[in-house]
Amino acid sequence: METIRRLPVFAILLLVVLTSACSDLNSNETINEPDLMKIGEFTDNDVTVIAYTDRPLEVGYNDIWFEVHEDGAPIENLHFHFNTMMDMEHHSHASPYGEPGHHRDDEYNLYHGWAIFTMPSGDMGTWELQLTIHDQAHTGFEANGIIEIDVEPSNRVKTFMTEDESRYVLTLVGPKAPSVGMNELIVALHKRESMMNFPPVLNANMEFEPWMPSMDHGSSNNVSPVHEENGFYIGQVNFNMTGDWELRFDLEIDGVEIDQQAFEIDF
Amino acid sequence: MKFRNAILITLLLLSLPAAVMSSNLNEIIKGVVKHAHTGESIPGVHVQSEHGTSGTITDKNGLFELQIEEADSYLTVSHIGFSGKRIPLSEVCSCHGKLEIALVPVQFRGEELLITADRNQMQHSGIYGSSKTRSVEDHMSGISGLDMVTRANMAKDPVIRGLRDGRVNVLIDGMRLTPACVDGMDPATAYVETDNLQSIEIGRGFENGTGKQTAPGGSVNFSMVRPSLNSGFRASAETGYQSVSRQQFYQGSLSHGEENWAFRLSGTFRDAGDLQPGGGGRIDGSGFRKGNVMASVLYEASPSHRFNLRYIGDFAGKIGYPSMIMDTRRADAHIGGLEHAWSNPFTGVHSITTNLYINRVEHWMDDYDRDVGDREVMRNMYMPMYGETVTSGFTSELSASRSDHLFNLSLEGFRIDAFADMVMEHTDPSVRDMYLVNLGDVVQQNLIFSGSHTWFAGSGWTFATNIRGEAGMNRLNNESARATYRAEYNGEIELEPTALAYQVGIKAKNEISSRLSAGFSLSSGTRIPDHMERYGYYIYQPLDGFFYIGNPELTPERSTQAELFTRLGSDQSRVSGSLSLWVNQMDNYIAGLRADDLFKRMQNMGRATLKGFEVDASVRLSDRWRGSGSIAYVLGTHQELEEPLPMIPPFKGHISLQRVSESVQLEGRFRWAASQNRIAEENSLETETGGYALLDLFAQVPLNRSVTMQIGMENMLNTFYIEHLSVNSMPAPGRNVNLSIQINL
Repeated sequence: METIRRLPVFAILLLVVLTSACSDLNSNETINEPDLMKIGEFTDNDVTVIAYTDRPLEVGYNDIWFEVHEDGAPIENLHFHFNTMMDMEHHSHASPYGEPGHHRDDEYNLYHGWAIFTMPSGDMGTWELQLTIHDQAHTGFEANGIIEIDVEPSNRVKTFMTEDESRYVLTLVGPKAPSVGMNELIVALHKRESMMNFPPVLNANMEFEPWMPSMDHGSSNNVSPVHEENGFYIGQVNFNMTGDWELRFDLEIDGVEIDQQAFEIDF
Repeated sequence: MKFRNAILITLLLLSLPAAVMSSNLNEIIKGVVKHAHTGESIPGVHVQSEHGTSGTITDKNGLFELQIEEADSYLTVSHIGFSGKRIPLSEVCSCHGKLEIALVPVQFRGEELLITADRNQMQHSGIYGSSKTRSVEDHMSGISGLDMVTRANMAKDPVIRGLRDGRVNVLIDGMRLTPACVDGMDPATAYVETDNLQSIEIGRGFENGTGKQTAPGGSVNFSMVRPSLNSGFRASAETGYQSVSRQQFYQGSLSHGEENWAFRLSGTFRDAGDLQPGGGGRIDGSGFRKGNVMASVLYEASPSHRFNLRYIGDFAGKIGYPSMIMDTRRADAHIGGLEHAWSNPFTGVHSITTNLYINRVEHWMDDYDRDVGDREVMRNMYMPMYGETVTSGFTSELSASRSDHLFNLSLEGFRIDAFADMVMEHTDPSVRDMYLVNLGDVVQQNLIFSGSHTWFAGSGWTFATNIRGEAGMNRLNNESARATYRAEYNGEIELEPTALAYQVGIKAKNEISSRLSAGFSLSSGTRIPDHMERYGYYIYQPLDGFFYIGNPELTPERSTQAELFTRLGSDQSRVSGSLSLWVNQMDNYIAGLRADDLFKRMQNMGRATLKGFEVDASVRLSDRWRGSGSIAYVLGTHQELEEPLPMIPPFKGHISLQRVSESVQLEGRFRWAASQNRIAEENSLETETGGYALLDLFAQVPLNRSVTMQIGMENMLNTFYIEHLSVNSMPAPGRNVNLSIQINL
């Protein structure tokens, strides 16, 4: 009898638990405006997706963060399908990118992804971020949308074709803000297998040297980048003065030199 | 290690003669030594018997007592800065009372500049010792063992026994002055004029027994002139011309001295055109223009306390450095100090002299007047550079005596703040300017204690020992410079190093006869790397064409030195001279290690050895004619690199003949240097230089009691030559006719 009297209570508790589990993650919190630049948003199925970046998007590597919420309540544990697309008059192509993980990052409490844009926006075409977002089990909501973006020109990406007609994308990721002294050097290498597919190159060997062409000298104690993960290579570059620098790379894959590339940096 | 053991053994041996010495003394002479012009008693004067069998120094009241032997015929009295005396004992003993000896200050005669080397007065300043318009480098040029690095037509850097820069202390009245130009274009000699000086005191190698600031190479102390009490009004003016660079110079001074205060104001201005080497045309862009002022106030608060406040301001406009890639656009120096001299403060203590000082140097240089598109280094690039140093500190020296013992104690502290940077502006305006910090707010702080003991042991023996301890600390405050050094040394570097240094030495001298003395000295010490060696970054060194990168983790450089010396006669003798044989073994030798074809990094680089000799001789041919000469030789080897040390002066010397009189004075001088073919080729880019021989002739003519004319011709044969220590082989001056008129009121 006592058990029967308590059934409504259990039912209510069960309802609360099930509701919280199936709504994939709504919470009673409200979203905060991060200290970032907003680059666009869309709303689909009552779910709003906002994209942010830390500086104007430019050719090269860009960090992109996403807030996903429903009526101001942040949604947790998501699965992102994320793609970059350059829409040109007669064809379209993508570029290397990294989808956000399932969880928010520690820095901004947002979903963090990245994209490497290989050309600037302009008369040739426009860039957009294509997004599909759903809960991890894909049993609940799904939101689809496109965010159109502007990409400024820069010289941080080199696309090149080797003698065997393989095409690669070499990106100078860091240092973002070079300074005098030792800087972390990060480059990314991707292979363009098709217009839509840019898998990371995991087995490249890079010889690196910084050079000041106007001074005709380099610097000491530089460390050539080695592969860290997912096509990203990390080394060290020593800028012993401000000015115009060339970051020179000799690239090898499987012992075969595929190309020499140089990035110019002024600071 | 063997060398150090030898020092210890020698120290033990030294104690033996003192222990076994006995004397045959049979008479006591009492006396007082006084200043010939002021009548003040002079403490610390050396008084010795003829054979050196006994000796003493005067006490705080100038008094002395000396026991002499029957065999002695003369008493010798000497003190630095004064003309020595040789007094027949027959006169002394007949006085039957206190002997009164008056010493004449050397610098007082015609206000001559006194030059000493290892505490001996040098005769080689020639007949133009009273000329205020001769540069300090000219006055030092005849000192054996001392050479000058030439970068331009002025401001030469002293090199002593083959060592220079941080290995030689260049001081102004004991004050340190830190050049602001990282390329060495403003050595301390750039900021002092002869007019500022009373004497130039040169020490060769570690100076044992002086209690002075000492360095492995030696020291040059420019002692500033002080106003004279009770001197009344004095004024002087001098103007002159040198044909070799069309240089005009003007100098004037005004002084006044009352009973307890005096002042002196003076100024010098030089305006030089392009230099003309022997047998050729003029070197474009080698002129300069500079002015120098000095003010000095002396106040005698009581007979025991004197205060001297002094200031030197030196202001240079454009100084051409044709052998280098840049010119000085402007250089300002402000040098100020307050000295307190406390005479006879306590029983047995003659004086305590304390000096507080601060000086600031700013230096701007650039290459805007050069064709930067037509050079090998930094082509198409203008490189304006700025440097600034502030050096502040104190020195306090105590001089005391007890019986036959003389003591000197010294405490010194100084701080150097240095900054230098450069901008590189490409001639192509589309290329971004480059910026570099050469000295990133460097701080150097040192505290030094030194002491010396001199014992006039009798039987002609004098023993001196000295000890010095030094603690140094460096900081690099500029964040960009710190990042640079962390990058250069893989982040694992101590940027705020501390270091300790020491120096110990002994010196023994024996008066073998009244005319001949001989002795030896042994010393060992370390030198803390200077701020340029630790933190100078991207420093272009035109001596070898490399860019230098400092090393904050350098360890002190050790120098172990031995010297044998003998001296014949004295300043008053008909024939006098000296001979020094020396060797200097340096371990942890600090030099630039070639990193590639462009850069060198400062490193402790094993062992280097220098050895050499100096010979000076002077002979009084008659009452009016005097001859003198000197030769010097240095051999330097870097054992680690198995090659000669760079920038070692060649075998060189001079002979001069002087007619000294109250009327016309004449001097003929023959200068020569051998070729230098021992050059560093592996780690440097040194070039050989040929030998040369030069003839000079000078005359000084008093036109009346107040006006004196000096006229001379240097390099009479207009010989083309290059001194080995000339940076980038800049040719030396050709025939130079110089004329000056001096008026003293």
